[in-house]
Amino acid sequence: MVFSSLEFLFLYFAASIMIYFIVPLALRNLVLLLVSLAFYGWGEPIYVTIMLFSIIVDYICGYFAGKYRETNRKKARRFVIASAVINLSVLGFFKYYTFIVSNLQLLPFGFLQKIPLLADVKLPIGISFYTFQTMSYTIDIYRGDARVQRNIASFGAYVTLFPQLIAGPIVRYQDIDDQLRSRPHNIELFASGMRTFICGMGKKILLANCAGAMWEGFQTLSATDATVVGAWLGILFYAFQIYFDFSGYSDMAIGLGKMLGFQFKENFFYPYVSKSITEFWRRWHISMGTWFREYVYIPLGGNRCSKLKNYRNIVIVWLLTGFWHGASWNYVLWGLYYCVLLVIEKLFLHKLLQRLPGFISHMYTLVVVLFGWWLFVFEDLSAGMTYLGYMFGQGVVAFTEVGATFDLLRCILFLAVLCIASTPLPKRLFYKLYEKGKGARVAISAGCGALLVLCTAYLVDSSYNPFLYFRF
Amino acid sequence: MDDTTKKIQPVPDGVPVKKEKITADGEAAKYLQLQMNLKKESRGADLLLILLTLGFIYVMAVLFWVLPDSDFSAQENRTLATAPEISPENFFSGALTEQVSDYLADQFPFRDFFVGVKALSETIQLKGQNNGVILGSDGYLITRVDYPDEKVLQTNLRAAARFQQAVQERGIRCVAAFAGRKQDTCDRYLPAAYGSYYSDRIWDILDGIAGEKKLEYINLRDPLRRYASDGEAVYYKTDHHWTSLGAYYGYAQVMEAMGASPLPLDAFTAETVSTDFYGTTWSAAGAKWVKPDTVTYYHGKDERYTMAIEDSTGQFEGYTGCVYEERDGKNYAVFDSIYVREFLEEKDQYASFLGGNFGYTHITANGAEDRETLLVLKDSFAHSMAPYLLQHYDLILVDLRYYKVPMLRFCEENGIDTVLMLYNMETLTEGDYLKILGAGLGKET
Repeated sequence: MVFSSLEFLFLYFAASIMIYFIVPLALRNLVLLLVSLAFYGWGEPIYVTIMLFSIIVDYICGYFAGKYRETNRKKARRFVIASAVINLSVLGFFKYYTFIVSNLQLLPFGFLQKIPLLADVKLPIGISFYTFQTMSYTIDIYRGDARVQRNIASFGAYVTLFPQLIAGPIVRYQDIDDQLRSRPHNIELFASGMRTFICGMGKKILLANCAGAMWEGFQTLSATDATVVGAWLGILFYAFQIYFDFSGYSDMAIGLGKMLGFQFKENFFYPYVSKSITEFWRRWHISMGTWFREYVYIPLGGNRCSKLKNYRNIVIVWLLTGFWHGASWNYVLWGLYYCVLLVIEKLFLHKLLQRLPGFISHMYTLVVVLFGWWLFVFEDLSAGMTYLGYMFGQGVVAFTEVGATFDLLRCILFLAVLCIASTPLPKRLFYKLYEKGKGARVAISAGCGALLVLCTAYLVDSSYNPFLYFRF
Repeated sequence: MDDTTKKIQPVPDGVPVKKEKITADGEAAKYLQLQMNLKKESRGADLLLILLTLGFIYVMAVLFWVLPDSDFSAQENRTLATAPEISPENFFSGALTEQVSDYLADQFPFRDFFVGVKALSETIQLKGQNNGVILGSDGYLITRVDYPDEKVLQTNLRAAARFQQAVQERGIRCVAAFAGRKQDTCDRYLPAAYGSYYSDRIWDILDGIAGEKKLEYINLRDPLRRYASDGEAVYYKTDHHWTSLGAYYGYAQVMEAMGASPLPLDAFTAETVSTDFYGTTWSAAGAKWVKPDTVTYYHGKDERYTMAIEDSTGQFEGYTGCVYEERDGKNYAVFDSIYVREFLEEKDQYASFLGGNFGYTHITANGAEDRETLLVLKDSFAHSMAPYLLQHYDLILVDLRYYKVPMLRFCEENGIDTVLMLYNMETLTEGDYLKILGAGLGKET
């Protein structure tokens, strides 16, 4: 189930929020666990067992890691390793098995051909997110960054917590350790969460889905109708789609969290205003960047080691980041692409960019990111190359054609909205208005209500509700 | 990964700090603090927000459960999803999830209202198009297709050409007439930036294929396009069909091509039978603010016909002037008129011409002897042309989408002297419906 669906809003949310606030405080984590399991089991009735398995594994590993961390470091370490091995094996099997085997079979060894491909094992929704979260628990315990959670319902609630379950943000255990034990429930927080949720829903439904529908039209460009303008317009719409899809979804998660009394960390910080790639990655999918930094980069030695090792660490982190996004070579290339750019920026470009006029460094960043999305979106590399050709006039019928021009003209206002919505401006204006006075705040409440109705209208109108981050 | 990403507030070496940088969490905390500081003053607004949003969600949820389900959406002309069957197999296979999703979307309270709200919102954003329908000037709603399927067109025309040649070899006259889609004919109502580029393109392709395959055809797009550009209402604004007037112009072209003279329009009496017709493109576009169309019947002199529709469903049971008869083991709905006026009370009023889409329809004039029978291989555009053709011929109308028999033999068995293939571009490019015509006719010439 995705948040931007009628069944979520009018069946699931309506029911679970009511149950949550009816039951006494002591039972709320249990309720949260149960409704979250229902949320997940609704979409994955069978794979929900994998999640339960992961919960049990880390409940036990975390328990023992905590028990021995003072007395027997070695023993505690074993439980951390067990947790990592088990979780990564589960992730590896469901996400990467087919990819790895099919690539191994390209090698000329007869025995490799006999390995079954298991192509019909499908990816359990959100497995990339919850395996990372359960692992972080055991590691945090081992490092002393969090306390052991003896209540399995509370621990289960952390892992399954429906707001962030299927598309993040990746919540680290240490960040909500205290909140799981006690958290505020009040009208202000609920209202604030509702505003964040509706804003995120607007981003997802009104912006991302509409941009996605445009991209869908251009994605299938072929030798008969490809144009340069169409190809650029297409990748531009995709860039907006993926940002508003993902950040809208994160906002919805953060908003739902607030309604339930949690405070999740932000996941996006206007990435498209960045003036360097280094900055872009500080603003894009922050929770994932943090995870790789805390649990991979720093343990490997980070930058507090020789230069050579430091670069090795950077390469490892970016290979993994790319591969985490999907079991396909294009994601690996995408990771390496950013790795190379970040190293170049680290060497000299970043300093140069800071001296250049803001406009130029901004343009540089956007162009680099746009090509990044081109790498990201085409799992089929040859289709990607063809599309890249279109962008540079290779194999197109014309520079532009009636359809592309018409779409550009009729979407000018929409594109302007997408651009402005990518900047901090709307939020700033919103809070300016919010501070203005009672009347303004009443107007905001009415506006949020209207936005909810509008989003419902789009949902009712269309079954078109693809969800990009489902492959994770 | 750069080491600067490690710190929350990174400041690269040697670069003067202009102002303190704020992080995502910092900003979020600041704004949350702002809201909390104002919590007493904004209590009313907060309560209003919760009341509005939760109120909306719960009211809709309750209405969804309480309101009775409808089986059919006239707006969309399709059956709606109804309550799914709940069973373990259904659940574990994942089917239930999808069924509930469809069920909720289809039975959502005030569904049509929401569809209209979305269309309005798209229009306000000047997107000029909703659900693939361009909002043209003067209330014309025009389905946009940039690249219709050329391969399908090729298949259809090849079969039509083969069939035309085969029947002509047997001394049967065969006329093909192709009408435009609304996009082709009514381009004067399209935005200038869109225009007729794609239409011209596909008609050039059609012309090329016809030339290559030696298919003789009458182009109905060009003449009707001229009428349309003169401002005549040759297509419905809200439906994809031509109007009775458009069909009349089509008829005139067809008759002339067959070497006969068409009756003048004033030989017919116009009867306005409806002023509230909302057609298919209106449903798709959801443009609730567009005004409805008028449906007109043009009655010829001495219009007494018997219309037999092959129909095993019995859907016309109880309709005025309709009896069911069995002939040669098949069921026919036999009407004493070519108009099924019951449809004027429903959404799809165009179906009142000849009762809608059926595989086989036979129309004869009562009491007239020795009238020639014209076989019309057709799509629904032929339904509103039938009243004019009936002034000259008895008609057998065959829709190859539903009636699949070898047509050459059919012509011979029924003593057909003239065949009219009447199709609009949409049918020609949407599916290889005509392919069956070429079956069993040997190699291409």
